[in-house]
Amino acid sequence: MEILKMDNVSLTYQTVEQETKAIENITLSISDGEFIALVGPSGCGKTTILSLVSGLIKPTSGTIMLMGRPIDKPSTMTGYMLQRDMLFEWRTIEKNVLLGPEIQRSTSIEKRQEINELLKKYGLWDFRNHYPTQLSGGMRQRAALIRTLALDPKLLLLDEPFSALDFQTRLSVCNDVHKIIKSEKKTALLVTHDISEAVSIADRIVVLSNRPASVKNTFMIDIDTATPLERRESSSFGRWFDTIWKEVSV
Amino acid sequence: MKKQKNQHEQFLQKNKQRKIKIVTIQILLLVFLVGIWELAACFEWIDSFITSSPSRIAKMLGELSSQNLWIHIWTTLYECIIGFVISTLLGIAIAILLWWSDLLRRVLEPYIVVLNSLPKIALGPIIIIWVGAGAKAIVMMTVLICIIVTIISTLNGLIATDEGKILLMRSMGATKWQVLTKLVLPGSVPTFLSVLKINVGLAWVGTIMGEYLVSGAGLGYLIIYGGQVFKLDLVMTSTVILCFLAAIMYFAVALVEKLLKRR
Repeated sequence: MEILKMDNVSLTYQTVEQETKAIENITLSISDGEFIALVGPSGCGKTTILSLVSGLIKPTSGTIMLMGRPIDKPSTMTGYMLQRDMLFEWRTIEKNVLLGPEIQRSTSIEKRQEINELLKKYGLWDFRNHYPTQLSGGMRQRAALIRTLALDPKLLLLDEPFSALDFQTRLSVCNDVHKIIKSEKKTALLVTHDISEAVSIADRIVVLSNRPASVKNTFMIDIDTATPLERRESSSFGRWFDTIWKEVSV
Repeated sequence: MKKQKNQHEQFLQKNKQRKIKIVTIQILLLVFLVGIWELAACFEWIDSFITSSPSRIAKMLGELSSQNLWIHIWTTLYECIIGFVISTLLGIAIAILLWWSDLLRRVLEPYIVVLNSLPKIALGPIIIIWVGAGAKAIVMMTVLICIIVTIISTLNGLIATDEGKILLMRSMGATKWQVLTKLVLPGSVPTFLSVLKINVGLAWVGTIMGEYLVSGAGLGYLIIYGGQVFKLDLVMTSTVILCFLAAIMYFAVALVEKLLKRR
Protein backbone atom coordinates (compact mmCIF):
# COMPACT_ATOMS: atom_id res chain seq x y z
CA MET A 1 0.00 0.00 0.00
CA GLU A 2 1.19 3.47 -0.80
CA ILE A 3 1.71 5.60 2.29
CA LEU A 4 3.10 8.77 0.76
CA LYS A 5 2.90 10.15 -2.73
CA MET A 6 4.62 13.37 -3.76
CA ASP A 7 3.76 14.51 -7.25
CA ASN A 8 5.78 17.25 -8.95
CA VAL A 9 6.25 19.13 -5.69
CA SER A 10 8.08 22.46 -5.80
CA LEU A 11 8.66 25.09 -3.15
CA THR A 12 9.91 28.64 -3.44
CA TYR A 13 10.88 30.71 -0.40
CA GLN A 14 10.31 34.43 -0.35
CA THR A 15 12.70 36.67 1.54
CA VAL A 16 13.27 40.41 1.34
CA GLU A 17 16.50 39.94 -0.61
CA GLN A 18 15.38 37.32 -3.08
CA GLU A 19 13.23 34.45 -4.15
CA THR A 20 14.83 31.08 -3.42
CA LYS A 21 13.83 27.87 -5.11
CA ALA A 22 14.30 25.25 -2.40
CA ILE A 23 12.97 22.17 -4.16
CA GLU A 24 11.86 21.54 -7.69
CA ASN A 25 9.56 18.92 -9.18
CA ILE A 26 10.05 16.17 -6.66
CA THR A 27 8.10 13.02 -7.38
CA LEU A 28 8.42 10.30 -4.81
CA SER A 29 6.31 7.49 -3.51
CA ILE A 30 6.76 5.40 -0.39
CA SER A 31 4.96 2.16 0.29
CA ASP A 32 4.02 0.60 3.60
CA GLY A 33 6.91 -0.67 5.71
CA GLU A 34 9.62 0.86 3.56
CA PHE A 35 12.68 2.63 5.00
CA ILE A 36 13.73 5.40 2.65
CA ALA A 37 16.79 7.61 2.96
CA LEU A 38 17.12 10.96 1.25
CA VAL A 39 20.76 11.91 0.75
CA GLY A 40 22.19 15.00 -0.85
CA PRO A 41 24.69 17.79 -0.35
CA SER A 42 24.23 19.93 2.77
CA GLY A 43 21.80 22.77 2.35
CA CYS A 44 20.10 21.23 -0.66
CA GLY A 45 16.64 21.37 0.87
CA LYS A 46 16.32 17.92 2.44
CA THR A 47 14.79 19.23 5.65
CA THR A 48 12.33 21.30 3.63
CA ILE A 49 10.95 18.08 2.17
CA LEU A 50 10.28 16.74 5.67
CA SER A 51 8.60 20.01 6.68
CA LEU A 52 6.35 19.69 3.64
CA VAL A 53 5.42 16.09 4.39
CA SER A 54 4.75 16.91 8.04
CA GLY A 55 2.34 19.64 6.96
CA LEU A 56 4.27 22.47 8.64
CA ILE A 57 4.64 24.28 5.31
CA LYS A 58 2.71 24.10 2.07
CA PRO A 59 4.23 23.49 -1.37
CA THR A 60 4.17 26.21 -4.01
CA SER A 61 2.99 23.69 -6.56
CA GLY A 62 2.35 19.95 -6.81
CA THR A 63 0.47 17.62 -4.50
CA ILE A 64 1.44 15.56 -1.46
CA MET A 65 -0.90 12.75 -0.49
CA LEU A 66 -0.64 10.85 2.77
CA MET A 67 -2.65 7.61 2.83
CA GLY A 68 -4.59 8.91 -0.16
CA ARG A 69 -5.48 12.26 1.40
CA PRO A 70 -3.86 15.64 0.78
CA ILE A 71 -1.87 17.14 3.68
CA ASP A 72 -3.00 20.58 4.77
CA LYS A 73 -1.86 20.73 8.40
CA PRO A 74 0.28 18.74 10.85
CA SER A 75 -1.42 15.47 11.72
CA THR A 76 -0.74 12.49 13.92
CA MET A 77 -0.26 10.37 10.81
CA THR A 78 3.31 11.63 10.61
CA GLY A 79 5.81 11.67 13.46
CA TYR A 80 8.72 14.09 13.28
CA MET A 81 12.06 13.32 14.88
CA LEU A 82 14.67 16.06 14.87
CA GLN A 83 18.45 16.30 15.01
CA ARG A 84 18.53 16.95 18.70
CA ASP A 85 16.25 14.93 20.98
CA MET A 86 14.29 18.04 22.09
CA LEU A 87 13.33 16.42 25.39
CA PHE A 88 11.90 18.93 27.89
CA GLU A 89 14.36 19.15 30.79
CA TRP A 90 11.66 19.85 33.37
CA ARG A 91 9.65 16.75 32.49
CA THR A 92 10.46 13.18 33.46
CA ILE A 93 11.03 10.70 30.64
CA GLU A 94 7.51 9.36 31.11
CA LYS A 95 6.02 12.86 30.92
CA ASN A 96 8.16 13.66 27.89
CA VAL A 97 6.95 10.57 26.08
CA LEU A 98 3.36 11.54 26.92
CA LEU A 99 3.75 14.96 25.28
CA GLY A 100 2.07 13.99 22.00
CA PRO A 101 -0.98 12.29 23.57
CA GLU A 102 -1.25 15.25 25.95
CA ILE A 103 -1.37 17.68 23.02
CA GLN A 104 -3.95 15.50 21.30
CA ARG A 105 -5.83 15.10 24.60
CA SER A 106 -5.73 11.34 24.31
CA THR A 107 -4.04 10.27 27.54
CA SER A 108 -6.43 7.39 28.16
CA ILE A 109 -5.47 4.43 30.31
CA GLU A 110 -5.07 2.30 27.18
CA LYS A 111 -2.71 4.86 25.65
CA ARG A 112 -0.68 4.98 28.84
CA GLN A 113 -0.44 1.22 28.90
CA GLU A 114 0.62 1.20 25.28
CA ILE A 115 3.38 3.70 26.05
CA ASN A 116 4.43 1.81 29.16
CA GLU A 117 4.83 -1.27 26.94
CA LEU A 118 7.09 0.71 24.61
CA LEU A 119 9.16 2.00 27.52
CA LYS A 120 9.54 -1.54 28.88
CA LYS A 121 10.34 -3.05 25.51
CA TYR A 122 13.04 -0.56 24.68
CA GLY A 123 14.78 -0.40 28.03
CA LEU A 124 13.57 2.92 29.42
CA TRP A 125 11.05 1.64 31.96
CA ASP A 126 13.51 1.87 34.86
CA PHE A 127 14.29 5.42 33.85
CA ARG A 128 10.72 6.65 33.43
CA ASN A 129 10.96 8.89 36.48
CA HIS A 130 14.38 10.26 35.57
CA TYR A 131 14.94 13.64 34.01
CA PRO A 132 16.55 13.87 30.55
CA THR A 133 19.82 15.27 31.94
CA GLN A 134 20.29 12.04 33.89
CA LEU A 135 20.30 9.93 30.70
CA SER A 136 22.99 9.22 28.10
CA GLY A 137 22.74 10.62 24.59
CA GLY A 138 21.70 7.26 23.16
CA MET A 139 18.97 6.74 25.73
CA ARG A 140 17.68 10.27 25.18
CA GLN A 141 17.38 9.66 21.46
CA ARG A 142 15.54 6.40 22.15
CA ALA A 143 13.17 8.32 24.44
CA ALA A 144 12.65 10.83 21.63
CA LEU A 145 11.75 7.98 19.27
CA ILE A 146 9.25 6.53 21.74
CA ARG A 147 7.75 10.01 22.13
CA THR A 148 7.30 10.06 18.34
CA LEU A 149 5.80 6.55 18.35
CA ALA A 150 3.39 7.45 21.16
CA LEU A 151 0.98 9.02 18.69
CA ASP A 152 1.13 5.88 16.55
CA PRO A 153 2.11 7.64 13.30
CA LYS A 154 1.97 5.85 9.96
CA LEU A 155 5.05 7.60 8.63
CA LEU A 156 8.13 8.58 10.63
CA LEU A 157 10.11 11.58 9.45
CA LEU A 158 13.69 11.43 10.69
CA ASP A 159 15.76 14.58 10.24
CA GLU A 160 19.39 13.50 10.76
CA PRO A 161 18.39 12.04 14.11
CA PHE A 162 21.89 10.73 14.88
CA SER A 163 23.99 13.72 13.89
CA ALA A 164 24.22 15.16 17.41
CA LEU A 165 25.66 11.91 18.81
CA ASP A 166 29.29 10.82 18.94
CA PHE A 167 30.34 8.18 16.40
CA GLN A 168 30.28 5.21 18.77
CA THR A 169 26.81 6.05 20.08
CA ARG A 170 25.58 6.90 16.61
CA LEU A 171 26.20 3.38 15.32
CA SER A 172 24.38 1.71 18.18
CA VAL A 173 21.50 4.21 18.27
CA CYS A 174 21.10 3.81 14.51
CA ASN A 175 20.89 0.07 15.10
CA ASP A 176 18.33 0.53 17.91
CA VAL A 177 16.19 2.92 15.93
CA HIS A 178 16.15 0.59 12.93
CA LYS A 179 15.17 -2.33 15.16
CA ILE A 180 12.38 -0.37 16.84
CA ILE A 181 10.98 0.99 13.57
CA LYS A 182 11.01 -2.44 11.95
CA SER A 183 9.48 -4.21 14.92
CA GLU A 184 6.74 -1.58 15.19
CA LYS A 185 6.20 -2.04 11.44
CA LYS A 186 6.52 1.66 10.68
CA THR A 187 7.36 3.37 7.44
CA ALA A 188 10.23 5.82 7.65
CA LEU A 189 11.67 8.68 5.66
CA LEU A 190 15.18 9.54 6.80
CA VAL A 191 17.11 12.62 5.77
CA THR A 192 20.88 12.48 6.13
CA HIS A 193 24.12 13.63 4.57
CA ASP A 194 25.95 10.64 6.02
CA ILE A 195 26.12 8.20 3.12
CA SER A 196 27.33 5.23 5.17
CA GLU A 197 24.41 5.74 7.54
CA ALA A 198 21.98 5.79 4.63
CA VAL A 199 23.45 2.64 3.09
CA SER A 200 23.40 0.84 6.43
CA ILE A 201 19.80 1.57 7.32
CA ALA A 202 17.68 2.17 4.19
CA ASP A 203 15.80 -0.13 1.83
CA ARG A 204 15.90 2.53 -0.81
CA ILE A 205 18.11 5.60 -1.22
CA VAL A 206 16.98 8.68 -3.07
CA VAL A 207 19.84 10.96 -4.10
CA LEU A 208 18.97 14.63 -4.37
CA SER A 209 20.71 17.26 -6.46
CA ASN A 210 22.09 20.58 -5.30
CA ARG A 211 19.63 23.35 -4.51
CA PRO A 212 16.97 23.50 -5.80
CA ALA A 213 16.63 19.86 -4.79
CA SER A 214 15.27 17.44 -7.31
CA VAL A 215 15.48 13.64 -7.48
CA LYS A 216 18.72 12.69 -9.18
CA ASN A 217 18.64 8.97 -8.88
CA THR A 218 17.11 6.16 -6.82
CA PHE A 219 18.82 3.00 -5.61
CA MET A 220 17.30 -0.14 -4.13
CA ILE A 221 19.81 -1.35 -1.55
CA ASP A 222 19.81 -5.13 -1.86
CA ILE A 223 22.08 -6.07 1.03
CA ASP A 224 20.16 -8.80 2.74
CA THR A 225 20.89 -8.42 6.44
CA ALA A 226 18.84 -7.82 9.54
CA THR A 227 20.55 -4.84 11.14
CA PRO A 228 22.54 -1.73 10.15
CA LEU A 229 25.59 -3.00 12.02
CA GLU A 230 25.57 -6.26 10.06
CA ARG A 231 25.20 -4.32 6.84
CA ARG A 232 28.29 -2.32 7.60
CA GLU A 233 30.21 -5.62 7.73
CA SER A 234 28.74 -6.98 4.52
CA SER A 235 30.97 -7.32 1.45
CA SER A 236 28.82 -5.14 -0.81
CA PHE A 237 28.61 -2.26 1.70
CA GLY A 238 31.72 -0.57 0.28
CA ARG A 239 30.50 -0.91 -3.28
CA TRP A 240 27.16 0.68 -2.42
CA PHE A 241 28.92 3.45 -0.54
CA ASP A 242 31.07 4.26 -3.58
CA THR A 243 28.09 4.24 -5.92
CA ILE A 244 26.07 6.62 -3.79
CA TRP A 245 29.07 8.80 -2.97
CA LYS A 246 29.83 9.29 -6.66
CA GLU A 247 26.20 10.06 -7.38
CA VAL A 248 26.08 12.71 -4.63
CA SER A 249 29.36 14.39 -5.58
CA VAL A 250 28.91 14.63 -9.35
CA MET B 1 35.92 1.27 49.02
CA LYS B 2 36.36 2.18 52.67
CA LYS B 3 39.27 4.42 51.85
CA GLN B 4 37.15 6.17 49.23
CA LYS B 5 34.42 6.84 51.75
CA ASN B 6 36.95 8.35 54.11
CA GLN B 7 38.16 10.60 51.35
CA HIS B 8 34.63 11.70 50.68
CA GLU B 9 34.07 12.36 54.37
CA GLN B 10 37.25 14.39 54.42
CA PHE B 11 36.03 16.36 51.45
CA LEU B 12 32.69 17.06 53.12
CA GLN B 13 34.42 18.11 56.30
CA LYS B 14 36.72 20.47 54.43
CA ASN B 15 33.75 21.91 52.62
CA LYS B 16 31.92 22.50 55.88
CA GLN B 17 34.97 24.06 57.51
CA ARG B 18 35.30 26.45 54.61
CA LYS B 19 31.68 27.50 54.91
CA ILE B 20 32.06 28.12 58.63
CA LYS B 21 35.21 30.13 57.94
CA ILE B 22 33.41 32.34 55.43
CA VAL B 23 30.45 33.04 57.73
CA THR B 24 32.79 33.75 60.65
CA ILE B 25 34.80 36.25 58.63
CA GLN B 26 31.59 37.87 57.40
CA ILE B 27 30.36 38.35 60.99
CA LEU B 28 33.78 39.56 62.18
CA LEU B 29 33.92 42.08 59.36
CA LEU B 30 30.56 43.52 60.42
CA VAL B 31 31.60 43.64 64.08
CA PHE B 32 34.88 45.28 63.07
CA LEU B 33 33.21 47.97 60.94
CA VAL B 34 30.59 48.75 63.57
CA GLY B 35 33.30 48.78 66.26
CA ILE B 36 35.54 51.18 64.31
CA TRP B 37 32.56 53.46 63.70
CA GLU B 38 31.65 53.48 67.39
CA LEU B 39 35.25 53.99 68.52
CA ALA B 40 35.83 56.79 66.03
CA ALA B 41 32.71 58.54 67.27
CA CYS B 42 33.61 57.91 70.90
CA PHE B 43 37.12 59.40 70.61
CA GLU B 44 35.77 62.13 68.35
CA TRP B 45 37.91 61.24 65.35
CA ILE B 46 34.73 61.89 63.43
CA ASP B 47 31.87 64.23 64.21
CA SER B 48 29.06 61.98 65.35
CA PHE B 49 26.57 64.78 64.77
CA ILE B 50 27.15 64.26 61.05
CA THR B 51 28.08 60.58 60.94
CA SER B 52 25.95 59.34 63.84
CA SER B 53 27.23 56.21 65.61
CA PRO B 54 26.04 52.69 66.40
CA SER B 55 25.14 53.60 69.98
CA ARG B 56 23.20 56.67 68.83
CA ILE B 57 21.41 54.52 66.27
CA ALA B 58 20.50 52.02 69.00
CA LYS B 59 19.23 54.84 71.18
CA MET B 60 17.20 56.28 68.30
CA LEU B 61 15.82 52.82 67.58
CA GLY B 62 14.62 52.59 71.18
CA GLU B 63 13.02 56.04 70.99
CA LEU B 64 11.33 55.34 67.69
CA SER B 65 9.95 51.96 68.67
CA SER B 66 8.16 53.54 71.61
CA GLN B 67 6.62 56.00 69.15
CA ASN B 68 5.38 54.99 65.72
CA LEU B 69 8.30 53.13 64.11
CA TRP B 70 6.09 50.19 63.21
CA ILE B 71 3.73 52.40 61.28
CA HIS B 72 6.64 53.73 59.23
CA ILE B 73 8.06 50.27 58.59
CA TRP B 74 4.67 48.88 57.72
CA THR B 75 3.89 51.76 55.35
CA THR B 76 7.09 51.32 53.38
CA LEU B 77 6.92 47.53 53.37
CA TYR B 78 3.31 47.59 52.26
CA GLU B 79 3.97 50.02 49.41
CA CYS B 80 7.02 48.07 48.31
CA ILE B 81 5.28 44.67 48.31
CA ILE B 82 2.18 45.97 46.51
CA GLY B 83 4.36 47.66 43.89
CA PHE B 84 6.52 44.54 43.54
CA VAL B 85 3.55 42.21 43.07
CA ILE B 86 1.69 44.47 40.65
CA SER B 87 4.72 45.19 38.48
CA THR B 88 5.85 41.56 38.40
CA LEU B 89 2.43 40.12 37.52
CA LEU B 90 1.47 42.86 35.10
CA GLY B 91 4.93 42.89 33.51
CA ILE B 92 4.89 39.13 32.94
CA ALA B 93 1.33 39.32 31.55
CA ILE B 94 2.32 42.05 29.10
CA ALA B 95 5.44 40.10 28.09
CA ILE B 96 3.28 37.05 27.34
CA LEU B 97 0.95 39.21 25.28
CA LEU B 98 3.91 40.57 23.30
CA TRP B 99 5.24 37.04 22.79
CA TRP B 100 1.85 36.00 21.50
CA SER B 101 1.46 38.79 18.96
CA ASP B 102 4.43 39.45 16.75
CA LEU B 103 2.70 42.50 15.29
CA LEU B 104 2.06 44.03 18.70
CA ARG B 105 5.66 43.42 19.69
CA ARG B 106 7.01 45.14 16.61
CA VAL B 107 4.61 48.05 16.97
CA LEU B 108 5.42 48.63 20.65
CA GLU B 109 9.17 48.03 20.45
CA PRO B 110 10.27 51.69 20.06
CA TYR B 111 7.87 52.81 22.81
CA ILE B 112 9.27 50.27 25.24
CA VAL B 113 12.84 51.25 24.39
CA VAL B 114 12.09 54.93 25.03
CA LEU B 115 10.21 54.21 28.26
CA ASN B 116 13.12 52.06 29.40
CA SER B 117 15.69 54.83 28.97
CA LEU B 118 13.44 57.52 30.43
CA PRO B 119 14.35 58.34 34.06
CA LYS B 120 11.08 57.46 35.77
CA ILE B 121 11.65 60.03 38.51
CA ALA B 122 10.92 62.67 35.85
CA LEU B 123 7.34 61.45 35.85
CA GLY B 124 6.99 62.28 39.56
CA PRO B 125 4.95 65.47 39.18
CA ILE B 126 2.67 63.87 36.61
CA ILE B 127 2.04 60.93 38.92
CA ILE B 128 1.20 63.19 41.84
CA ILE B 129 -1.24 65.21 39.78
CA TRP B 130 -2.85 62.14 38.29
CA VAL B 131 -3.24 59.81 41.26
CA GLY B 132 -2.80 62.20 44.18
CA ALA B 133 -0.06 62.62 46.76
CA GLY B 134 -0.42 59.43 48.74
CA ALA B 135 0.45 55.77 48.87
CA LYS B 136 -1.04 55.37 45.38
CA ALA B 137 1.60 57.67 43.90
CA ILE B 138 4.38 55.73 45.61
CA VAL B 139 3.07 52.38 44.38
CA MET B 140 2.71 53.92 40.92
CA MET B 141 6.33 55.04 40.99
CA THR B 142 7.45 51.55 42.06
CA VAL B 143 5.44 49.94 39.27
CA LEU B 144 6.81 52.35 36.68
CA ILE B 145 10.38 51.63 37.70
CA CYS B 146 9.98 47.85 37.77
CA ILE B 147 7.59 47.07 34.98
CA ILE B 148 9.60 48.01 31.89
CA VAL B 149 12.59 45.94 32.99
CA THR B 150 10.21 43.08 33.85
CA ILE B 151 8.64 43.20 30.40
CA ILE B 152 11.97 43.36 28.58
CA SER B 153 13.72 40.58 30.50
CA THR B 154 10.68 38.29 30.54
CA LEU B 155 10.07 38.78 26.84
CA ASN B 156 13.71 37.99 26.05
CA GLY B 157 13.38 34.79 28.06
CA LEU B 158 10.16 33.76 26.32
CA ILE B 159 11.57 34.47 22.87
CA ALA B 160 14.70 32.44 23.62
CA THR B 161 12.62 29.24 23.67
CA ASP B 162 14.25 26.57 21.48
CA GLU B 163 12.81 26.83 17.96
CA GLY B 164 13.29 23.09 17.51
CA LYS B 165 11.05 22.35 20.47
CA ILE B 166 8.35 24.64 19.09
CA LEU B 167 8.67 22.89 15.72
CA LEU B 168 8.32 19.53 17.45
CA MET B 169 5.16 20.59 19.25
CA ARG B 170 3.67 22.06 16.09
CA SER B 171 4.39 18.84 14.20
CA MET B 172 2.34 17.09 16.88
CA GLY B 173 -0.53 19.42 16.11
CA ALA B 174 -0.12 21.71 19.14
CA THR B 175 -2.05 24.98 19.30
CA LYS B 176 -0.31 28.24 20.17
CA TRP B 177 -1.87 28.08 23.63
CA GLN B 178 -0.40 24.62 24.16
CA VAL B 179 3.02 25.80 22.99
CA LEU B 180 2.77 28.60 25.55
CA THR B 181 1.57 26.56 28.52
CA LYS B 182 3.47 23.33 27.95
CA LEU B 183 6.74 24.66 26.59
CA VAL B 184 7.36 28.41 26.74
CA LEU B 185 6.17 29.11 30.29
CA PRO B 186 7.65 26.06 32.06
CA GLY B 187 10.86 26.55 30.08
CA SER B 188 11.10 30.15 31.24
CA VAL B 189 11.07 29.46 34.98
CA PRO B 190 14.76 30.50 35.31
CA THR B 191 13.88 33.79 33.61
CA PHE B 192 10.98 34.40 36.00
CA LEU B 193 13.27 33.77 38.96
CA SER B 194 15.89 36.23 37.77
CA VAL B 195 13.15 38.79 37.09
CA LEU B 196 11.91 38.36 40.66
CA LYS B 197 15.40 38.96 42.00
CA ILE B 198 15.90 42.09 39.91
CA ASN B 199 12.48 43.39 40.92
CA VAL B 200 13.12 42.95 44.64
CA GLY B 201 15.92 45.48 44.33
CA LEU B 202 14.11 47.81 41.97
CA ALA B 203 10.90 47.81 44.03
CA TRP B 204 12.85 49.30 46.94
CA VAL B 205 14.35 51.93 44.66
CA GLY B 206 10.86 52.82 43.46
CA THR B 207 9.30 52.92 46.91
CA ILE B 208 11.96 55.09 48.52
CA MET B 209 12.05 57.35 45.48
CA GLY B 210 8.28 57.64 45.71
CA GLU B 211 8.48 58.47 49.40
CA TYR B 212 11.07 61.15 48.70
CA LEU B 213 8.56 62.75 46.35
CA VAL B 214 5.41 62.48 48.41
CA SER B 215 4.76 60.92 51.78
CA GLY B 216 3.59 61.48 55.31
CA ALA B 217 4.98 58.24 56.66
CA GLY B 218 7.45 55.51 55.82
CA LEU B 219 11.20 54.98 56.02
CA GLY B 220 11.86 57.14 52.97
CA TYR B 221 9.88 59.89 54.68
CA LEU B 222 11.94 59.49 57.87
CA ILE B 223 15.17 59.72 55.87
CA ILE B 224 14.09 62.86 54.03
CA TYR B 225 12.68 64.42 57.21
CA GLY B 226 15.81 63.55 59.19
CA GLY B 227 17.96 65.09 56.47
CA GLN B 228 15.96 68.29 56.44
CA VAL B 229 16.12 68.84 60.22
CA PHE B 230 19.72 67.58 60.36
CA LYS B 231 18.91 64.58 62.55
CA LEU B 232 21.48 62.22 61.10
CA ASP B 233 20.68 59.63 63.76
CA LEU B 234 17.22 59.32 62.27
CA VAL B 235 18.60 59.06 58.72
CA MET B 236 21.10 56.37 59.68
CA THR B 237 18.60 54.40 61.76
CA SER B 238 16.07 54.36 58.93
CA THR B 239 18.76 53.30 56.48
CA VAL B 240 19.82 50.42 58.71
CA ILE B 241 16.19 49.24 59.02
CA LEU B 242 15.88 49.51 55.27
CA CYS B 243 18.93 47.28 54.85
CA PHE B 244 17.31 44.62 57.03
CA LEU B 245 13.99 44.77 55.19
CA ALA B 246 15.64 44.55 51.76
CA ALA B 247 17.70 41.58 52.92
CA ILE B 248 14.62 39.78 54.29
CA MET B 249 12.73 40.29 51.05
CA TYR B 250 15.69 39.11 48.98
CA PHE B 251 16.00 35.96 51.05
CA ALA B 252 12.27 35.34 50.71
CA VAL B 253 12.69 35.37 46.92
CA ALA B 254 15.79 33.17 47.19
CA LEU B 255 13.68 30.72 49.20
CA VAL B 256 11.02 30.69 46.50
CA GLU B 257 13.77 29.98 43.98
CA LYS B 258 15.07 27.07 46.05
CA LEU B 259 11.58 25.60 46.37
CA LEU B 260 10.96 25.87 42.62
CA LYS B 261 14.29 24.38 41.66
CA ARG B 262 13.89 21.36 43.92
CA ARG B 263 12.01 18.60 42.18
